[in-house]
Amino acid sequence: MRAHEFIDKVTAYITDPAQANEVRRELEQHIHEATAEVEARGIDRETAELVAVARMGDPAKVAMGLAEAHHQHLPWRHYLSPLPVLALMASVGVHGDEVLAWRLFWTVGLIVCLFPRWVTAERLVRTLALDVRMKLHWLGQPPQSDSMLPGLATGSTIAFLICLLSWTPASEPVILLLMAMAVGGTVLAWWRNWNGSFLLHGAYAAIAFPLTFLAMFFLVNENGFDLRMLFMVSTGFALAALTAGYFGSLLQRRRTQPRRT
Amino acid sequence: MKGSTVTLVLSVLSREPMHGYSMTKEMERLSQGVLTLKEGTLYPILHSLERDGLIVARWESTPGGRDRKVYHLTDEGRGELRRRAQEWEQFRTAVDAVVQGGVWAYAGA
Repeated sequence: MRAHEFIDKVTAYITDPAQANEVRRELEQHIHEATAEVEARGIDRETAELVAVARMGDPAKVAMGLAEAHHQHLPWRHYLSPLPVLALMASVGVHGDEVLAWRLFWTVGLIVCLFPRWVTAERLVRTLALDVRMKLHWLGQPPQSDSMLPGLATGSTIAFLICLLSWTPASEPVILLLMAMAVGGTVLAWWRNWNGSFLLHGAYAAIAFPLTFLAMFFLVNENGFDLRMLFMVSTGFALAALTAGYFGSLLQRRRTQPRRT
Repeated sequence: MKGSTVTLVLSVLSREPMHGYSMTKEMERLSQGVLTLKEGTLYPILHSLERDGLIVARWESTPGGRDRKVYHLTDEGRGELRRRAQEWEQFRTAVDAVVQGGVWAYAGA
């Protein structure tokens, strides 16, 4: 792989163009020096560059590490990434007199979400794809698989509170399951030491919507299918998870701040 | 080396400010070729340390006219290194005690 291909692959996952440019400059500089060193051993420049790039390792792994480091600098906007999907689903699914208000609400959400230049559709898709890939990667590694627990715990706790305060009876099995997840997740998170990452909170938030949507589908169906309520509640769940992810990341960051000696 | 990479990176930087490439070389030199720091591992660590305020990075020009991103250890980074070095010392002492006890028992058998 040539240097520019490697660098393109790595920087494609960094959503902030300024940071992506910074990483690009740094990697270019590194590969330039590594190439010069190999070239000094009498190897032609092109081969030397290939060797230097190969020493950098898998671009996806470098991208994952850098993206995790850099997403810490993207506060609430990162958690808005599932909003376009929610907006689309809500505007398709909601009927009746309030449809205009709903569409207006989600349009504003979309504008807020997509207005910053760096959140282009392409980068959004790449980031979400990376979220999934990272999650799968980490799930396969037992020592780090507890990283998602803080998000799971906080998300489930808030989801449970929403259910408790809304019209859904607390005795429903799904609510009990959510409560168990919240309590269990919290205990496990603290037992295994809070080791969450901002991106994993985001990944959890991204999967919260379809899961809660399914859960609510079965709940609501008992008393007759109400599409609007379904969207409202599942959207509430997703937003709760997003909020929880954000505050979870703040807590996690505070906890991992260097201790002064 | 896994798990102690951050300590190693902070230790290398405590000697003098360096850019990424020279850090990999310095690590090899100091460990006499035993430890190699993969570049793909190094940069995510450097960026995380920078995010946490343990190091700061500045672009500096070289005599050859190229810019290099040079990393400097902060006061917080020095404190973190001291803490990690103490932990490492405790760990090393404990492992030594167990391993040497095993070696003596084997020699006496």
